[in-house]
Amino acid sequence: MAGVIFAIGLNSWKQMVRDRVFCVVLVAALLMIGFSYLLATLTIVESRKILLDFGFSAVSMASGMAALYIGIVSMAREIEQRTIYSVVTKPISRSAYLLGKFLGSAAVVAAAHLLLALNLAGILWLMGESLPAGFASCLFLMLLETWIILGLAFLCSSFSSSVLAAGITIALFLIGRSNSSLLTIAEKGLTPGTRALARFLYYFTPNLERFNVRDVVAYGRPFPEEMLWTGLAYAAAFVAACLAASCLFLGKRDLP
Amino acid sequence: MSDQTAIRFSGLGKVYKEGLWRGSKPALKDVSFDVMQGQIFGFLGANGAGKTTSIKIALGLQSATKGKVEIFGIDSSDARSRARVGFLPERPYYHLNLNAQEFLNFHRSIRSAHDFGKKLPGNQDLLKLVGIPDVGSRLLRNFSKGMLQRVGLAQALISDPDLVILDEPMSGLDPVGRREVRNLLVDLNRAGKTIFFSSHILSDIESICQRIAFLEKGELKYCGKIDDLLESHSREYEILYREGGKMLRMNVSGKNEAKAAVEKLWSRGAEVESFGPVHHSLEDVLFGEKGAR
Repeated sequence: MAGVIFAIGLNSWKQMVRDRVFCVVLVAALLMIGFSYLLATLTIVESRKILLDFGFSAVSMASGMAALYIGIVSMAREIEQRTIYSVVTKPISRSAYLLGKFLGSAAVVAAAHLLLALNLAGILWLMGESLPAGFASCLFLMLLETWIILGLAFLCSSFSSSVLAAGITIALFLIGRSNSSLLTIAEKGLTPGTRALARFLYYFTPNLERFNVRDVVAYGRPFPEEMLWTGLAYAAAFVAACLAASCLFLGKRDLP
Repeated sequence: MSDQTAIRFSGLGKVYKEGLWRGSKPALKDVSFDVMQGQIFGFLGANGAGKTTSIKIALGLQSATKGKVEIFGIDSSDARSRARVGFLPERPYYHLNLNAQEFLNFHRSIRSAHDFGKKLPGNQDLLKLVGIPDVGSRLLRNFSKGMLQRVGLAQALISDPDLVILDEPMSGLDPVGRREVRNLLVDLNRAGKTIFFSSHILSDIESICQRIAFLEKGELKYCGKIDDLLESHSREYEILYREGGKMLRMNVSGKNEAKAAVEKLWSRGAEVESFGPVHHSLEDVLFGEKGAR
């Protein structure tokens, strides 16, 4: 079982690192982070903060996009293009297939994220700036967030088409990024219906705000270390729930 | 189940839902037949007859609405039923960013738990067997359709399976390639493998299959030996005769009736030019009447 999952994960990795669209997205992201260097050199005051703020945002956005793309391509497109056929017609379970795919995809996302993070660190070094306290922790929390996006993309792909899966994942991502606003609406919404919907979304969508410590790190405020462990536990539980539901949906699904 | 049965379709039914408002469409209706071990079995039918749906259910890609399929006695919804099966899909749905060696290695590795300790053919042997020995390092995305079909066939044979299921294996191949694949299937069968393949190219089926099943609009219309089917349609006799200066033709059903018709023609002074049974091809038998319409 472990060998099969590893083989599927490795295949997923090979597929993705040779994917032209993914490579273009990665190069564009690297250039975008490079742009933060230009932006920082143009400003007279607080160039370090601008560089960190823009750089972190660029890494977060690019990693999120990469996770979304990889998640959709790895699952929904495999089903639509029927490349899944030659694998699941072997004596292996669909759960093993899904798990292998996820692990391979998560490794690609992590590698891309690391590359982007190194790029940002390199730019800081070029500017003669030291790495701020909590730099690695901030990037680790971002990585956890991208894995949650990946889990959501897998979940949505397990029961819908690639376009729909991408749409739902983006919607869940945006809702997750404004989770605290949902709580406010749930408490102070104008109608009972609005309050109920906000409460439902608050409890059933991921709270991605807990992974955002970019401002804390960029502005040199003390980094709350406990966020690292609670974030890790939260991400692990959320991804596990996504994968369990994905296995259930994919197991029952008639492949086209 | 008999020990000799490779695949058993039992009362198989499949209904597809076509959206919220359009209702449902039956794709298979109570299909039952057996494929015995050691046979080359042809699965026939026009496009949309239900061949691919049956194969998908047999391989666990889809679930049956009614009935079931068993492979070597194991229900097809159980992944273990595919342990002794090699499958070639209708179209080359493969990971095109891999080269041929990586592709075969990947398929070998995901079967490794089931094939542990088994002596299996190497990648190069398989590529040679399917007629593309020199393409190991080329990415699949640079392959022609025929080459993809061949590498897919190599993938289907990677575990030296007892049962090979092929969905339209000749599609995308040129006439030479088709003949090579036909010969390969015969060789595999001689080596003791059961071959189950679907096709709508009747000449391919007629030339190598011992038994066939024929589906029409989701219903099983015939299952049995090709020879029996042809023989049942060979009771027709054709008489060519000359009468009143014209060449005429008469078709009579039954040998005795045909003899009587010839004697009658002779008695009225007609000149019988030829007399013999009409030879039907599989196409004439299965689609002849429709073709005439």
